[in-house]
Amino acid sequence: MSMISRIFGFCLRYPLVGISTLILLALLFVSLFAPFLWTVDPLQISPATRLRPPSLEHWFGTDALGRDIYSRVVYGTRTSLFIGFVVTLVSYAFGIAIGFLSAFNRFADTVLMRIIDGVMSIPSVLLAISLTALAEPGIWIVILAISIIEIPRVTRLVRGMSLALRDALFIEAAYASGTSTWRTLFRHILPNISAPMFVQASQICAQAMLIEATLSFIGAGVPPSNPTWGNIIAEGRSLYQIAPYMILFAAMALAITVLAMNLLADGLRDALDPKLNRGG
Amino acid sequence: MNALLPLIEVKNLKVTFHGRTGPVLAVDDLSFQVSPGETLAIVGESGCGKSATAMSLLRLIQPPIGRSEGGSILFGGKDLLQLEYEEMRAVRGREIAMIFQEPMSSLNPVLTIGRQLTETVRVHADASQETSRLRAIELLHLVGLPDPESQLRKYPYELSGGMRQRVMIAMALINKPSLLIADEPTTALDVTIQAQVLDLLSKLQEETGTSILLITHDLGVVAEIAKRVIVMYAGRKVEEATTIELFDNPQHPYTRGLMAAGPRLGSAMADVKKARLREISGTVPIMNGELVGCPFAERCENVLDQCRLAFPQDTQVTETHCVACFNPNGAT
Amino acid sequence: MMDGSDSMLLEVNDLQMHYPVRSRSWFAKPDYVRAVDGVSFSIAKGETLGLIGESGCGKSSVGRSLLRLITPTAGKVRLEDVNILDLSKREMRDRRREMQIIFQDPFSSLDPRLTAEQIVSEPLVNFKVAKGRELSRRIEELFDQVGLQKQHLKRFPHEFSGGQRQRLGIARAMALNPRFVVCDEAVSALDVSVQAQIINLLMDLQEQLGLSYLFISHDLAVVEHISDRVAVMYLGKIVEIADCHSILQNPQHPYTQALVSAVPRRHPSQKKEKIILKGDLPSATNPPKGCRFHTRCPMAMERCSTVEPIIKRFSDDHAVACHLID
Repeated sequence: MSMISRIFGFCLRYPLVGISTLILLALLFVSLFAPFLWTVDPLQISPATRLRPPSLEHWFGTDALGRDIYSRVVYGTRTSLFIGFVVTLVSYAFGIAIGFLSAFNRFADTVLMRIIDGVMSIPSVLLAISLTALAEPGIWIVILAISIIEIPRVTRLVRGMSLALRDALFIEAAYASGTSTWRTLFRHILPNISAPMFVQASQICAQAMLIEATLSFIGAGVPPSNPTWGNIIAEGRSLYQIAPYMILFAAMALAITVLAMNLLADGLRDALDPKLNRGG
Repeated sequence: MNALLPLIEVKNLKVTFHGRTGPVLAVDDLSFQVSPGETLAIVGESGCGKSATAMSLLRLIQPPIGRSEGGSILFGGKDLLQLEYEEMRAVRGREIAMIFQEPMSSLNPVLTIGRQLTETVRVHADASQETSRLRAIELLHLVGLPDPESQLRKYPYELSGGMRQRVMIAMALINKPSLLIADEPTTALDVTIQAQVLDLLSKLQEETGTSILLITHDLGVVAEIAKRVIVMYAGRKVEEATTIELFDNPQHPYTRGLMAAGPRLGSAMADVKKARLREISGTVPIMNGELVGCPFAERCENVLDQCRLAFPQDTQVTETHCVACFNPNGAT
Repeated sequence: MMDGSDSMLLEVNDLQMHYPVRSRSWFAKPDYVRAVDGVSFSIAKGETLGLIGESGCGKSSVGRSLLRLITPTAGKVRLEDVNILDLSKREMRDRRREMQIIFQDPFSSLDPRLTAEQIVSEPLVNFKVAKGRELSRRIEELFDQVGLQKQHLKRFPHEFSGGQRQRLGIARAMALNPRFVVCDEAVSALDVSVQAQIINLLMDLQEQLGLSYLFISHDLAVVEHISDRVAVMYLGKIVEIADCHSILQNPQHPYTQALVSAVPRRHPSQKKEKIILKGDLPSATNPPKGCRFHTRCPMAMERCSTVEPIIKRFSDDHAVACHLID
């Protein structure tokens, strides 16, 4: 009971975090229970009912192959969220490791930072296109490509903040108390840089979903048979003047998700500010 | 107190800060005056309201951080608290100037000393480039910087702490202010440099006749240059006297505690184990408006029942010495 | 300098700490900041040595070198029979149980994300000294020792006053029962009334636990109060070292004389002849030749700018590095 009231109180104090978390939870629900949400098989082609506008039978209408757009958008939620979360996890795992390494080892720093600078100097979508072109198209190669784009951003953040903390007196105090380097990293440094990392994580998640849509849109992403928001928009591209509903709903879903992620980032920035009262 | 008219007269000043959990009373019912050419020190520990007082004289405490809630600050026939923004801006830096504890953060790091000085001269005096340069050199000379012309080309980071504080003092003196507020001017400096700066301040005062309001936590600095002292505790003035009187005959238990708490140089005897210092137990209360009575009561040796009920009125000890305490002599 | 008898806990010999400065080009020879340039002293069991000097004189670097929080470039630091500069990283970590440090700034020396209890338990957990109920008992004991209450255990650093934070820092330093503690400006950031509480606490703990302190400070009055002997540092070197009484009553080095005279008077009517030094501390990257103080010394002679004075015994427990003493 008290847990629920505390969460409720938190959401009242930081409405942005509350609203965006609700939206994201709803999206998660949609993607987990996609088969039970009055959907039909998103891949099933039905030439008889092509290009039908939204109706009771096909809520969001049907596309050029007669596939139910509602079902495709709902199933597309799965792919988009999955890619967003996995990319965030992967880029953080590597970003934190590389960031720590270069913050605490001068030689590694010189080498790693030049590599990172190199990666950052290539336009991100170009880099992803060339990577996906090298391999069989598929969801994992898309995840890999987007992660490679995002890792440098995490690394920069982790490295910068760790460098600032490295000379903090409480880190020196930890060494003086005989704390090992590993323990110092995970007990003192990581918690103290977590607030900006959470903020950036939600931005990265949103960014990953956008890049995925972009890649799918230009045909370099997830194979077109898979329903993703990017693929849906790409397919509706040529017909959007006569059937705007083909793009509209997928685009709205994408926009709402990215907006929710960005709102979460903004809200977290306030909620995790150490200068404001914490813990209660 | 003085035949001369006071230069600035503060009456019943009250300043609050907007804290996270509600308003915090920083200064409560504070009255004092500074005569022309005198040095008045406000002494107290962190959080006693001494800096808030200094800043509210220049109206630097504005919402949403806090505000001056009442009282008046009479300066040159005007109440500073009632002035319009533009009128107040004319007072700041021109008639009342201020120097701060940390001279590094008060100087712009990307401009040379010369640029910052000459620009301030030009803004206020509307002088030509060359005149303002000469004035800047003159000022640096006045504050005792060696080779002023080459100093003009330097950036703040190229100067030491003591030199930066001298530059700040020079900048404050540009318009020959009638009141100089010095907020912990030597706290960030080393002892030998502190001695230089204090020496400089008293020399400048002799030459220019500026009044100085010195904000400090260090009774030693007070003894060095102040003529009169106000002791503040938790936003209240607890004692006011000439410096000699205060050191000879401190009345308030807090003042006495402060004097006894500092280690005394030269008290060490060869081969005698050191005595404990006299400490004032406890900590400063949080002034959220709930506290009635004397804020020092909880830490006071001479506390009486009435101390917790009301804040004591000022009692005159001599013509120039007053104390706000029900029981300065420790009767029970 | 001092007799190397068995009662000495810590002996420092010719300690040097030269920090490399980033040079202007890749090919230029790197410059060094000579923060500590040949410092020797010793501290007996249960003794407090005060180390005084102005900012930039290298006193903090000395303190950190002794604990190997920074690695000195040369010299010996013997804790009883072991030169701790020869120890491996792992051996050094074990030695940390015996040598601790209390920092100046009680605001930045405590991790803002940990509770008071977690902060004090860290060294105990690191060395597996105690766990479970034993650990909580030890922490309560430490809290009691430094004058904190049980109700403070779960609080975060920002909920404490400056004095209480410093008490926490002291509890952390005392947790492992060290024998030697460096107090690096441990009371400088505190208000006078609180400062007195902390000085008293440090002196009580010393008496109870038989600790030795290296008490680093810029405040002569505080150093005098707590120390048995005092060393005065100027630009990386010790210029004078003596028992407390002699340093104050009979300072020999012109710099010490200036320091003593610069301390603000205790009473406005007290007449005090001030020696006001000219100029500022020279750069430690390129210290003056000869005696490092000669650029500011009111009594400088010709010899001072060429020959560096060596530290010499002036009387029984009093050594000075100045040509005037010859």
